[in-house]
Amino acid sequence: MQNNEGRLVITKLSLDGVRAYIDKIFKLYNCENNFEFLNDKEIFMFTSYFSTIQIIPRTNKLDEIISELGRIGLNPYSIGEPIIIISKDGNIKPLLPLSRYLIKLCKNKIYLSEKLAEILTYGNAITLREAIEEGSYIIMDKNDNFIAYGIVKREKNKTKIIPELDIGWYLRKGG
Amino acid sequence: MTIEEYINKYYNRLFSISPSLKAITLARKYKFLDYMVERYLQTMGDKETEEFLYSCSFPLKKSIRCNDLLIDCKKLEEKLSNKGFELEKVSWLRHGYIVKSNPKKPSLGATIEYLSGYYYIQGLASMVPAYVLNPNENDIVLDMAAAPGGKTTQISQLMRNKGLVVAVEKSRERVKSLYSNINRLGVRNVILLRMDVKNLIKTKIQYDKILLDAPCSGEGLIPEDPTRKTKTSIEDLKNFFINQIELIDTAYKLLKSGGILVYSTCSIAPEEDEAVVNYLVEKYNVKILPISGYPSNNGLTEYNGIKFDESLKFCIRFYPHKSGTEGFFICKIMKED
Repeated sequence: MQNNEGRLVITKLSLDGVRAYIDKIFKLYNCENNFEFLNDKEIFMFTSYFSTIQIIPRTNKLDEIISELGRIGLNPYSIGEPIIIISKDGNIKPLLPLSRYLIKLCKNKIYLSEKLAEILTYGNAITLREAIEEGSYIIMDKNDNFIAYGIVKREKNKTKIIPELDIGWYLRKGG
Repeated sequence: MTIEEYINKYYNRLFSISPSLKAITLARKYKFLDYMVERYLQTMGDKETEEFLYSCSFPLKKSIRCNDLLIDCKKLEEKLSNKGFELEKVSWLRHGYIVKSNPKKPSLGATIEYLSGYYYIQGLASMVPAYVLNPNENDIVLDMAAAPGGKTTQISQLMRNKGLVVAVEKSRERVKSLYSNINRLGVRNVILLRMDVKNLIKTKIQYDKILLDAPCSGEGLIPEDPTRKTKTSIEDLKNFFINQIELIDTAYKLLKSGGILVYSTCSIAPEEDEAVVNYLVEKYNVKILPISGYPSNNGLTEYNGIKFDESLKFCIRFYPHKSGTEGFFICKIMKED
């Protein structure tokens, strides 16, 4: 999937072409196998040192614009919503915009008080007394706001929630 | 007329400002550059100039735009009120609120609601260009200088994530904040380009609507950033003017016949505002359309002995001492056949 030259290559994916990636994420978070959110979308893969999958609502001018940009040697910085990142070693991770679709489909969810949720938004792990099975979870606050993708680990009698990607990213890295 | 010819025609008169004693006295009192105050005296008169200079000593109330792509605005009011923020709806802005008071913690830019994209911290006047552009769900819209994304995300909000927005940003650093804000606010219909927007002329794409919120001196943001009282020399202003003329010329070329261009700046400098739009009116077949419904002043039709086209009165200007907003300029332009 990756190229080693750092040159960006953008390719269009079919629904079947993206299924394998989404399937892995669905399995990770115990989600209903429902791809409806991709029905009215065009799907693109951006490949450079790593890859991202990006989706945008289908419009009749989209192809023309992308191909005109290509004609003058221009690649978009992004197209619509970036939903998945694939690292050089093939590791597949969801990006923040995908959470808006996943929260409706996935069962591996943990709800936290706003105070605990806030700690995760600084990129810090939290420890809970209650037992939660190890795995990957979507972390929400009690008001139904998505907070982070997290990993749960058991440590003695406690549960540690480690944020993998949280909404505080928008402040810390997004600028 | 070429860009060079227009610049040569007006350049010297536009940038030849001899400050009067009155201007120098007021400039010393309020710590502005002399030439700036002389401009205010010319365009506002003595009494209003002092009101304006005085008003620049006080920061504006913070304001937010509710993002109804992701939340019902009444719900947002309730959520923020529960956290100790007191909001007041702005009657002349569909999604605009003034933050009348706030708690010690969290700060307005660090709440879970902010990180969830339910609102964008945005000056009141800066919300107006997108409403004036009035994009619809079938439009192909170009945002020519898009970072950090307040107006791009507002355009997508008004289009309900339908149609297409092409957002362009030249700066490698600033494009990151644009990308982040687009994603945070749940915007789905944006193609983001990092490039010099002038290169788009090489494509055959024509846009239904274009927003050119031009890079400017920021002379309207003095209440927020007092360093701008002395930041922009006349030489800097000339450079902004030339760049703005080149950008508005590019905008015209990229616009469909019958299409709408909204030109705006967060500056009250006539050199960056009416003088730029006047170039388009003199060179091309365009029409300035009236804008109504905002607590604003008319555009200037004369400045420093230069007469601009009469239709420039249809552009609008915001001032902190009059509308309680940042200083801002907006003009709505239609490309005619």
